[in-house]
Amino acid sequence: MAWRSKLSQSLRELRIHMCQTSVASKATREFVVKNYKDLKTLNPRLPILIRECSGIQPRLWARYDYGVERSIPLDGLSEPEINAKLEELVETAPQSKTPMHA
Amino acid sequence: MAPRCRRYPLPLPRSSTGSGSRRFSFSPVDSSSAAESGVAGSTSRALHSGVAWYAGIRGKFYEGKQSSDFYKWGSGLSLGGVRHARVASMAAVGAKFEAKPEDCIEVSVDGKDVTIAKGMTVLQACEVAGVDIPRFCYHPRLSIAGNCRMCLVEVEKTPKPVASCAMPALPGMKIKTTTPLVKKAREGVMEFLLINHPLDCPICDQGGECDLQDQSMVYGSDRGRFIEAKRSVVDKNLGPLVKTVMTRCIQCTRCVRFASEIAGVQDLGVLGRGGAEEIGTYVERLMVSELSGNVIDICPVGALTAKPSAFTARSWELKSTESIDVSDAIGANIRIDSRGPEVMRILPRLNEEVNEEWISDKARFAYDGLKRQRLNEPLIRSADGQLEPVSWARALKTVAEAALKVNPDQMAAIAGKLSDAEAMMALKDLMNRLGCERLWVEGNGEDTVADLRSNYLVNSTIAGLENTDACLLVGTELRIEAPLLNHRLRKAVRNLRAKVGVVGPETELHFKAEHLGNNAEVLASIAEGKHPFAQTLSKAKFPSIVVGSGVLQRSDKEAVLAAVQTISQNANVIRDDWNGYNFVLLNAAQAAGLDLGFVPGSRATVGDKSSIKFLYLLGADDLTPEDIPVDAFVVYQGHHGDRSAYRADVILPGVAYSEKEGTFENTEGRTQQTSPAVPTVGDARDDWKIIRALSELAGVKLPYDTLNGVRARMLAVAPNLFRVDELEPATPLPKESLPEVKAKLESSPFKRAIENFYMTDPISRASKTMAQSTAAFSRS
Amino acid sequence: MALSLARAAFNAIREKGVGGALRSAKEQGYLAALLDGNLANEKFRFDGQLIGTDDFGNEYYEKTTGVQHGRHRWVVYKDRTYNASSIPPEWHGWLHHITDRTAEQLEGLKPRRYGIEHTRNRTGEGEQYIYHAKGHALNPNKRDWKRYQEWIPAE
Repeated sequence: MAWRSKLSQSLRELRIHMCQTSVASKATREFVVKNYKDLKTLNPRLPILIRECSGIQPRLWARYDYGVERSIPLDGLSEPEINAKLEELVETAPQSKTPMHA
Repeated sequence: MAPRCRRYPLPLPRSSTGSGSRRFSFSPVDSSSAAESGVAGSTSRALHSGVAWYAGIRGKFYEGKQSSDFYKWGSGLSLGGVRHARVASMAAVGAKFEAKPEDCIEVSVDGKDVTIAKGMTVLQACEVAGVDIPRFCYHPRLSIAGNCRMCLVEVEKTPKPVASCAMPALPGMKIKTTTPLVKKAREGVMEFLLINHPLDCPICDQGGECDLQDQSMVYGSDRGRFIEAKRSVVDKNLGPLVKTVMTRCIQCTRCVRFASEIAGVQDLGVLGRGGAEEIGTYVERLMVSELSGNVIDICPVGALTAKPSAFTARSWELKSTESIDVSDAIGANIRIDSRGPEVMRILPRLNEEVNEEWISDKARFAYDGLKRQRLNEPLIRSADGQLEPVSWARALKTVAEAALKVNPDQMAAIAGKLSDAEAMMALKDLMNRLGCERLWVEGNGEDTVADLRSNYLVNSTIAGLENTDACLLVGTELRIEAPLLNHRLRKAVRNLRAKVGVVGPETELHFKAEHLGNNAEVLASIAEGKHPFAQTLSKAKFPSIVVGSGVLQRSDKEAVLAAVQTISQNANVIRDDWNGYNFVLLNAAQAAGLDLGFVPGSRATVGDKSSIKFLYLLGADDLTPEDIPVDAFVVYQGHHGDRSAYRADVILPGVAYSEKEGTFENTEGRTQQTSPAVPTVGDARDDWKIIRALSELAGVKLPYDTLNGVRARMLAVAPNLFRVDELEPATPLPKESLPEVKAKLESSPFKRAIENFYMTDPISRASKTMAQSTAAFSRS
Repeated sequence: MALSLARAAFNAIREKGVGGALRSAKEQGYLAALLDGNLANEKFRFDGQLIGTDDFGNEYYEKTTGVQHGRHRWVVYKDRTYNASSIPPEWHGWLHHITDRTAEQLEGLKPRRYGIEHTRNRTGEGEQYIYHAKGHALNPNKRDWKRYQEWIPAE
């Protein structure tokens, strides 16, 4: 998907939180297994942090310029839906690049 | 509040198979029933409440974290024994333990029936029953010697009292520990031990926490009959760390067994016979081991004591604080004993999963670096190059102004070796809000990939590494970089006859290891399966690979890591039930930094340091002055005036690990917290608070004001950092999910990651004891 | 006592004349002794033998025969504002019948290395005399509890 190669243009860092064993994170785990290679190959310099912790709600976190962050909960979503949420994070990146202190 | 008793694994019975995976766990029964059902009720209760030392046997049955405390026989606890009594009564709680029914046998201890595992000794059976037996030479982690004879108990139908530490418990045994025979035996043995023991209590460092003192009070007779002359022994020189007064030695041989079994150095031995026995090195040799300080804990009397802290304090005047060691990435649990504003000594705490009861010499003795060369007030370098003390407001304003003047692309931040997670979180947030993405942790290299946790952690866990039966060490000198992990591997070699191959600099690991070579070709040949060690790995049931983080400093690191990945796939190292791929980190800050994503963001410049105009060093001292451009504005926030303080333009004094409550993650991914033991030095402040104040002056106020706020933010970034004392396993991705690596291996040899074990971080570099150790134990 | 007083007075008048005797009596503190019974008790005893004097000027007398035991040793203070605590330790033992050794014999027992000069009890005489612990805020030489060495950049 074309937007995937634009990931590192709009995002500074992508974090995926999931649980190692729970049912709610199953789709997230599959998403990571299936898509990590593609995402990383297209964006080799983008940190895609996969952070697992037992019992947490699966979430997608995106960090944009100047520390702005957005997160989307992923429990109950299927894999294509997670893909769509990731695309949403890319599309809805804040446009203004002014620093927060300016 | 009733203490929450916890499960505790029993020490392994000394079976010949020595399989490390057999563990019995037991849970204690209700304390009231045990206390009442004790047959020799009042006597045993008197014994139990009077003696605190056996609480130090295991330090078990404590509430709280998984790492229970290791109390050294009355030291550090409050006077009057109030805590002793509670601890004693907790340990008096009988333990019912669960194991497979066919492995259990029934014995009777003082009239009480207990079920124990087959192969346990009489002493262990009495421990399960809640009866304490005095001992000097027996130690649960060492082999059984049976030479002190203090553990004698009476067993029905035996002609003589038996040494309970050595006698295996047989089904149907009736063990009696409170008969007059046993009492006389103990008094007699104590009398014999005291015959040649000098009257050194007032000048002995072990006074107040001495096994001999405690046990003679409880089990010895009240008067002596010895009027002859006592013998004395010449003191041995074991180095600048261990002080020996061999006249006090009672020849229990614990140190001899420790040195040969645990430390792996065969330095200590027993010479002579009978009353002329001496423990020493026979030749003029120092005890060269990074675990040599642990003999100080092991020695029951004051024969082996700590030299740096000799004659400085008595144990009852010290306040103990539980904390975590940050000298390496193991995160050993320690107990900081302090008196007023200074740290007097550091002792290990029991944590079966991380460090058992041992700590390395650097962890134990580097504390005097905490009192030297401390930064205690903010300093600004004036125009003539001199540092002048200023107020906090002015220093922070100067830093904020300098940060705002510079283009975000020209800023960079480096987190030092001893940074805690809160400080790194605050710094990352500050830098990101200012637009700077160029961050890294010292030791990680500038462009490390922090994506998958399983790529940078010890996945088999530190305790799990002792179950491996074939291990390949790549680019690491494990004994220098992580002595406690080396100890675990040594256990695997000793108990399971594990085969260890080393690809890297030739190093002495204190166990039998095959040096396969020091170049990448060897690695390539193992990856292709041509090297014989590849077959060793494939045939093993629990193969493991240990990669040192010195590999990250190489230019072909991706190729090396890819080769290691190939090896692990071929040898089936990563499976569902066992993940043997271990990446050993060097510093305490690396794991937490990687978890928090303290790495360059996308679109950050990496590599060329000459474009840096603003550099924020959070205790980072590895950079040489040549690395930093001359016109860069350098801010150093740390606690010691080390190398970077000489280059810094603004110095902000932070606090050391003994003065802060910080979260650290060890190399296996376990989150642990330090506790402040002593007050902060001068005008120093907590690291994250400095950054939070700076952010407000820079116009990018961070959204948290309290420690809980920082931790909540950490939860949003790396949720495992919120789970203190817990280990979150990292799921490795299968090969198909990993991007391809196209790098090629270079033929340069693997370099040593640490040149001098004793001086690796600002605290140990400022320590006089570590300087003496370097001089004494320097590698030739 | 009266006889010895009369004899001493007679001797003094014979040597110095009435006026001179009265003046010297005043100088020697007999006038003050008339007003203070404690001083009079010991000043108007002329039959004692002077054993020694201490650094403060107090005089120590002894009369071995013809006196009740317990009253055979006494001190004559120099100051009108006398204070029992102004007796130095080497005389205290002798005066209180603890020992028979006088100050010269006990001089060697004084600790030379750490001994300080004897001062009398100065309770109520001023705040500067109050003892304060090493860390007390009012102690002028308050101990420095700093247990670290700050970093001084080497040149």
